Amino acid sequence: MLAPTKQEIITFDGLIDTLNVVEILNDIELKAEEMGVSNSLRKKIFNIAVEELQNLLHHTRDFSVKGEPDDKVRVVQFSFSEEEDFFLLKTSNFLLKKHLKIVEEKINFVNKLSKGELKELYRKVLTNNQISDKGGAGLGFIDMRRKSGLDLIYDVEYFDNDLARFTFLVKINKKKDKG
Amino acid sequence: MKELILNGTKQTPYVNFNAETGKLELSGRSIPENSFEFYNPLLEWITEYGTNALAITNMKVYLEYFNTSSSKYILEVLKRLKEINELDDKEVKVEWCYDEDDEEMMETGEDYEDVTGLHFTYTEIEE
Repeated sequence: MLAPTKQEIITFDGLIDTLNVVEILNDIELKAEEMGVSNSLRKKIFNIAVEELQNLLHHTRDFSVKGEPDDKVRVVQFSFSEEEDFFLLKTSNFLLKKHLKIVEEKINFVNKLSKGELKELYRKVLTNNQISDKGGAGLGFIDMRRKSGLDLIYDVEYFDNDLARFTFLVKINKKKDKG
Repeated sequence: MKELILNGTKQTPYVNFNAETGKLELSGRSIPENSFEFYNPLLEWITEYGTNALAITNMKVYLEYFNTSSSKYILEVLKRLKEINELDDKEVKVEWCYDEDDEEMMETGEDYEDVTGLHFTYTEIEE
């Protein structure tokens, strides 16, 4: 079977900062409007893009690895694209192998949960009064999984040093607004 | 007490908190990178207002988007209002508005209503 044809709508490759994030989000809104995407679908896309981009910002802005230039390890990629039935929001960034396990566990955990269980977990984490030193609420994966209604997808490329390249993808069904 | 008015931006919501009328409004989008910086003045305002709150306080929330980092601070805003609601002869009414096709935003309101114990009314806004 042929792989579905993917059409890139917006791509970013480089060092991300607050200004980039604002520009990319503006572009997403404009493109979604031009493409005649429904309001509810547009909101889902925008919300998930905000979480992904702010995650990239928080986790790469001060990222440094001994022996590696900062402008190499902080490079990220972001893309907003579409296939026939889905919109796709994909990110890619370096992280330390030792931090990978926690990320994978969080994603695998939320992927296993039913809609009701996700709602329950969302409320539990919402009320736990914890905010990370990077300003994260610990709700990102739960929220993206709830909004997408589909499994969160990730892939890891390992390198010889302490680094891994983490690619993360959220799919949004065009034909099923209610996730 | 001085009112708190902040114009909405592409990242932060419009805020209009008025101690004279007891009407508080938060509307637009809330996706600031630093939610603490944005919400802390709001929380401080509510705490001060609570020391001399009107008998009835009306809080209107009409958000188009908010990021997960804002979600905890919105909860904190509501929790401080809940404290006012628990004072003798004080009542806080929350009107949660959402766009007509935005069922998720309505459900988010239900999440907040359940976890705070405040009474919400829901208003669907036609686009």
